[in-house]
Amino acid sequence: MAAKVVGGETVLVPLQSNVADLSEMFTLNEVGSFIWEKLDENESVEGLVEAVVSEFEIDNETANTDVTSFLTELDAFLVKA
Amino acid sequence: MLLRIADFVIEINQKDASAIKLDEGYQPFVVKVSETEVDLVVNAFGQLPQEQLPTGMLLYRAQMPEGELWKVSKSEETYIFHVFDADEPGVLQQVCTTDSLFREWNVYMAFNTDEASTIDPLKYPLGPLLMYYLTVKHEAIMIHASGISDNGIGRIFTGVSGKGKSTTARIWFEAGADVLNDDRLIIRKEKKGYSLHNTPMFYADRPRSSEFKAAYIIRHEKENVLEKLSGATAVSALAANCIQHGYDRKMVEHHLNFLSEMVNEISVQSLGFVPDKSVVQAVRDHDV
Repeated sequence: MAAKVVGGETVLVPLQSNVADLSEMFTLNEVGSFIWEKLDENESVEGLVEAVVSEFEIDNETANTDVTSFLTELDAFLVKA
Repeated sequence: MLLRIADFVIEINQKDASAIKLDEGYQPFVVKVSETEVDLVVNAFGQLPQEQLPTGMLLYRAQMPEGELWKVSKSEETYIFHVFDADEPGVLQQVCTTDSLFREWNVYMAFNTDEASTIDPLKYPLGPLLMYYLTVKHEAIMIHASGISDNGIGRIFTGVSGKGKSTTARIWFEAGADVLNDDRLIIRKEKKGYSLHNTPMFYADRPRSSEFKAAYIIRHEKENVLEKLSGATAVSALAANCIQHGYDRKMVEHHLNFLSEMVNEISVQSLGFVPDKSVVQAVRDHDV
């Protein structure tokens, strides 16, 4: 996976071994970019939620929804890629 | 023999220079001399090498619905390309070797017939493939797009097949713009700004270039509607239409780095358009 941060957002491009349809690249907003960075630090889901609460000053429930939704979409993207 | 494509200089060497016969699309790009350094060297051979080439590890396979077009393997520092006949899937056309600089290529023709009196080392798909590897080693990209010069303002219109690239080129041609190409373009970063260039096609057309100012991600709509794109959205919209072989992280990063710098200087907009001349004025009205 190659990633590029552009203006606080992140573009993810899967590496391919065959001709691929790149029309569905994954673009992460500011929160997604933050979670993506934290994934490199091997954070647990709970750790990610805690980090999002702290960084964006939102409640635990909203952060939990954001993190879960992000991980689900990322997982679907990676499977497809 | 020298070719000048998008201001890149390509040198083709062959023991018997008269044996080289390029497709007519390349003829207008042949130059006698070049004032700038050679960017890519092709050493052409009329037959496969006597020695056994290494097999290497398969990195990428361009598998089209009609068959395999080319594949690349790597053995130590050598890249080995097998290129197949686009008209006869599965028939080997050329075998090429190069190193990680992708600057000097040995191109071996794989003739199975007695037509070996002339050779075309750039025969499709190898020509565009070499141009792609030129771009990844320079500040440049190749993109599927229509490109026009509208009174010196270079605009590209890009989108997946069927979104209207050729239609757009026709509309702008009828409005008096110079159409650079309606399929494949090279964009280069210059000392100041960016430039836009056509590349050889299957038909003859002269080299065409323009200063590059604006990119449009197109789709058909019931009315003309433009919306500015920026940041990651602009980068991903353009990257989706770039020609790229995403097996190598450095190549993908090259594209993303190039585009993320470019979107700071080039206007990028999504364009829903009605396929008639009204779109010309709508686009011009949005010029900054």
